[in-house]
Amino acid sequence: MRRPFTILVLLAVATPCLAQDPFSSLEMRIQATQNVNQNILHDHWHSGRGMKASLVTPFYFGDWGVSLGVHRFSARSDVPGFGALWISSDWGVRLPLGYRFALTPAVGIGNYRMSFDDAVTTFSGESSESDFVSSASLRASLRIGRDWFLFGQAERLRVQTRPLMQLWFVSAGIGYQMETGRLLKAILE
Amino acid sequence: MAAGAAIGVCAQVLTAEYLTRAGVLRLSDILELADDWSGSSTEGYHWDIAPLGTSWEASPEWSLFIDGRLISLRALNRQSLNTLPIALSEICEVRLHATPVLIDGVLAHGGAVQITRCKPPKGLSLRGQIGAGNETGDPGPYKYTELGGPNVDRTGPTVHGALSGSSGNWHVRGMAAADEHHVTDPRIRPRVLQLFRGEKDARIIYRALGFDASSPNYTVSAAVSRTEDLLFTPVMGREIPVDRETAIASMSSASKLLGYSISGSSTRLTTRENPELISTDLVQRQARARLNTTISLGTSAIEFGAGTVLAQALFGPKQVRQTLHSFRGDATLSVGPPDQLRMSTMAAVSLDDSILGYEVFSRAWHERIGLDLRLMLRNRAPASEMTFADWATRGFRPGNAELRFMPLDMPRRRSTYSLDVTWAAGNRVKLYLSGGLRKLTNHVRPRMRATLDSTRMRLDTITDIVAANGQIARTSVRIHMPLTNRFTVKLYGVYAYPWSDADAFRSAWYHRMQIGGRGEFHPNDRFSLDMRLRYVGATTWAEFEEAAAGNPEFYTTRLPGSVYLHLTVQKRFWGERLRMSATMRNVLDHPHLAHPAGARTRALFQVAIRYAIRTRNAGSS
Repeated sequence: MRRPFTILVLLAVATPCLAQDPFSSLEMRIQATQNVNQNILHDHWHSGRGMKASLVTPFYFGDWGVSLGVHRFSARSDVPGFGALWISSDWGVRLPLGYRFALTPAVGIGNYRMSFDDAVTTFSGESSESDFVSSASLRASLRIGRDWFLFGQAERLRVQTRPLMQLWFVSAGIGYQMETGRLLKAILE
Repeated sequence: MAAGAAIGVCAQVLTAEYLTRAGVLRLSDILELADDWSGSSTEGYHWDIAPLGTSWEASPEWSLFIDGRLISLRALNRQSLNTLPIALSEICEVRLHATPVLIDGVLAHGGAVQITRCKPPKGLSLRGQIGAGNETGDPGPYKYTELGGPNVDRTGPTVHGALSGSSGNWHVRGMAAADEHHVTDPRIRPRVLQLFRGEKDARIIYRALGFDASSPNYTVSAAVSRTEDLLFTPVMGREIPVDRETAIASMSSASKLLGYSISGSSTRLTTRENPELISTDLVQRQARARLNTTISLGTSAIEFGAGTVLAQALFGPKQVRQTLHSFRGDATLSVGPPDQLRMSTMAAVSLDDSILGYEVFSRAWHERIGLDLRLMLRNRAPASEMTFADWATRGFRPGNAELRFMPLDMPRRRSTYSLDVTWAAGNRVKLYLSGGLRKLTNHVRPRMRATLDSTRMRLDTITDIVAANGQIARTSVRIHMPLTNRFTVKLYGVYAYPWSDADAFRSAWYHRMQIGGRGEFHPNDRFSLDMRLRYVGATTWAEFEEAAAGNPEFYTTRLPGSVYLHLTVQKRFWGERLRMSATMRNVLDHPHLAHPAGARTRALFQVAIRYAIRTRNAGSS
């Protein structure tokens, strides 16, 4: 009985956030990311810092955005290091908590491309790998002016390799919000 | 044009809009949308499909029609839609007929896939699609560690485009398409690497070019595709390294007084050099011509048609030639005004290689009541279809396959009949009920005995060509429910029950049950969510018993039922110019969920971008 009640409460909170003018504004975000968890991947690779840039706009329901992230894994054992380029499409619901503060849970899907250093390959095309990636995140943002805001984010990536790559990232960044121009709105609509 | 997948009384109609909303990347993906068709694939590219209850691994009896012209792609017992030189963005609708149907005077007695291409919009336009899929299960970085397994690569890229000019009365259009498929299944890839001694990876590469044009009374089209193929054939138990060239051409006039159509198709398989000395060289050509005239008699009309087919096949390196001449004359009488009982009856006589045959197809329907009744009788020489079994009787042994033809009183003619009834009811919530019976007499199919040579990763098969008789009863129910203006649900279930005294016939029928549902949510015409859930009943491959005994982990004889989940999100951008879709399908990579000879499919995430650029802003995409 508790679960349906929780869903109803969440829906009641989220419903006002879902009804909005789609594509009316554009949010640009840039953030520094750090992988923080340890698993079998980290027995062979050491995670470095990364960057991520995002564009987010109100959708018919919730917010929709695209992000581009890069980060690097350096070799810890006798394996090549690799750089990862991660592009994803995200959807989230912004839950305002007061005038300046908001929480945004989001989910995303995309592609996770790994480019290996000095890979010894049998066939062409194997010096890089592309895999499906899904993500779930929670972002807390604090407005610091009319258009600017600071935010922190915790994000879990699940790259569908075998074995699975499960990566936890924490990040912090800054964002800018503006009205969507007429041309851009026409393209997005 | 209806936005979704309409349910015709007799056929399932997949509109261009629905194909886009469902994220279809390749033509074979329509199997995912088909209510009462099932299929199988060894490598995930070529799909053997058939109406539920009939066998896709025997000779495919369904017919393929493009713009009303019968096109035969059959080669080595298979008819693969992905080798067709046609671009998805040209397609206006696909009709799936799981039961016998009459299309432009031609009787498709085993059902039909009917593809109709759109007339291009006015002005100059360029439309096409770019897409790619990424299968799950790659080793990723773990390939450099002891944890990594075999690589699983991408699907595609799949690219096509069509450039057209049109004034409304005439049009000219050119098309180009390219596709790639990377075969990485552990059951298949080692076999292919062995075949090429590791010098070539297991990839299927497809390229196609096409042209079509029309004026008010005439249409003409021509297209050719070339597929660097790795065609798995159960009769040989392995992949064949072939280059497959498919060419189709047609010309027609739509005059009521005297219409004509001329069409031709050619399939050429050229074996690539290989250390195993496998040779399956085959050229199969068919030319068809048909004249027809229609006489109107008030609310009735009678159409007379006469057609001829010249088919030729060249087998093996020595190009042993087999030729078939077929002549057919038909008359179709249509009676009854709209809103009352209407009836259409076709009778035809034919000469196939000088063997007399006949066909009768009668349909009676009442649109207001929603009843549709169809009866088909057919008795024609087996040679009229040029199937693998027919070639086998003439001594063709592809790739030195061991074929044993069992001369079980092979008939001069093969007879069949079917009776189908459909009832549709309801206005907002629609209910469709259908049922039918089909009889097959002296149906010829291969029966395989497969053994596994595990050291060389191949199956060795002995194939008996046997004749068998039997019946299939089919029933289906569909419910179409628009819950709101934005959310529509469809539920369906199909069941087929075959029975026969002959073992070969009985073991030929695999899937018997399919149930599923589909939900479509579209808050506006710019965005949609398409969800499908399908359960397909258990299947059996009795032929692989010996192979399964040798390696039960790789080759199984009975597969449990499986559930397929398909989710596509689609959004338009920039007016009508761009549409993006992202599709996810579920994981089916457990060993016991795979076809005995290879993978069926894996979990797949695919993205497609459709574009439509026009110089004049008339109509919509």
